[in-house]
Amino acid sequence: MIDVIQLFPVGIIAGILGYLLGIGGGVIIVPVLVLFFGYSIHSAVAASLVSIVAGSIIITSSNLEKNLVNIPLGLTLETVTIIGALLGGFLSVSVSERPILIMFSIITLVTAYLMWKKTVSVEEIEIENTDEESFYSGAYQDEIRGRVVHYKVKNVRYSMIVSGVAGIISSMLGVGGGFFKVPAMNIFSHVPLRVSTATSNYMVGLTASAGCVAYIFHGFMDPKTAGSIICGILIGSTFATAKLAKVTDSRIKAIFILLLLAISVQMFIRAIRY
Amino acid sequence: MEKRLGYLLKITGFIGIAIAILGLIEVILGSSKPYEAQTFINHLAGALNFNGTDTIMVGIWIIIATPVFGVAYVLVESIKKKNMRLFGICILILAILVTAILMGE
Repeated sequence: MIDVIQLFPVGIIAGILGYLLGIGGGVIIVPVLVLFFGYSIHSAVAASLVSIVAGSIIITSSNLEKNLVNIPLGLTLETVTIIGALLGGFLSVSVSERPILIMFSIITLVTAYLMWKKTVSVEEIEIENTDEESFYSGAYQDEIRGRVVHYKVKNVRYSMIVSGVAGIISSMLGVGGGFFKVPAMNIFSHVPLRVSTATSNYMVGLTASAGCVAYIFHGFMDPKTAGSIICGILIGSTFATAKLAKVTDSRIKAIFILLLLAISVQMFIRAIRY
Repeated sequence: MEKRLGYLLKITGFIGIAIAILGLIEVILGSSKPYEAQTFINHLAGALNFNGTDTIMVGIWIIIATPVFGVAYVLVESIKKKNMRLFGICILILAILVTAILMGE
């Protein structure tokens, strides 16, 4: 009973961060379960993955109603992400973890810098409403600006390359690839930050659902732990979708950069201790 | 398409989450056996016998299947709208997901 209640806040925080940043929440759930509750890494990742799927469903269903998810873009990027994840699964067996951790730490630091300096604002992205529709073009109701924002996605191939790399890294290190996909969609493809996080949320649900099946078949899923975190995710995601829709892009950007820096430091420390 | 997809995800997802929470309540009330990895059918049978861990696993399987249902729905919509590019991407995604699941097994 105590375990169940203690795990609720983990899910709540993961649900809120998942909504704001489009990262799923594995970066919170896995370390907390391993470091504070003594779970094995496999059990922690299994519980984390199914919780990510639950959070993604709640958040995406709300975001779809607001037209925030770019489905064609999300599915296009998802193809390379899953292929990257499968490739990463094979690579993780033959490559030492230390150089990957150092590389990941550096890439995360560079991503934080790019987020700080190169983030593209809605005003730079917004286009005139035309009848001409392209495969990736979209429009959404911006609640802060109080108008419908139309945008056109550019350079999808660059975002695809980043998504493929994100898939490899997420599979090798057991973390979500949202840290790279959200900035890539915004900086390379000129997708509004709010749409980038919503589309990333949609994608992490698919990636995580594919990933957690193997853990279930191998007996790593602890139903009680997963059920407890799912309860927390339900509370956190529902709260976030109802109350945090008007958080400004600049705040999302600031939280994202802080989280990237924290992850970069965490990965570097893990590499030194390895 | 987006609103209907959102509705589908909401309904299916919340059913899965509700079943998982029901199982958790059963576990808290002491109505559960130690967990064993089994097939979905066996978990379903266990859930019908009020075994909390099996009930949670049934919920978890529904949650996992929900995003795949979502892609299948987009696939059907792409056929209706004759959007062959989206159709191709959905087929590719479903093929990769099935491959990933089979590799995992």
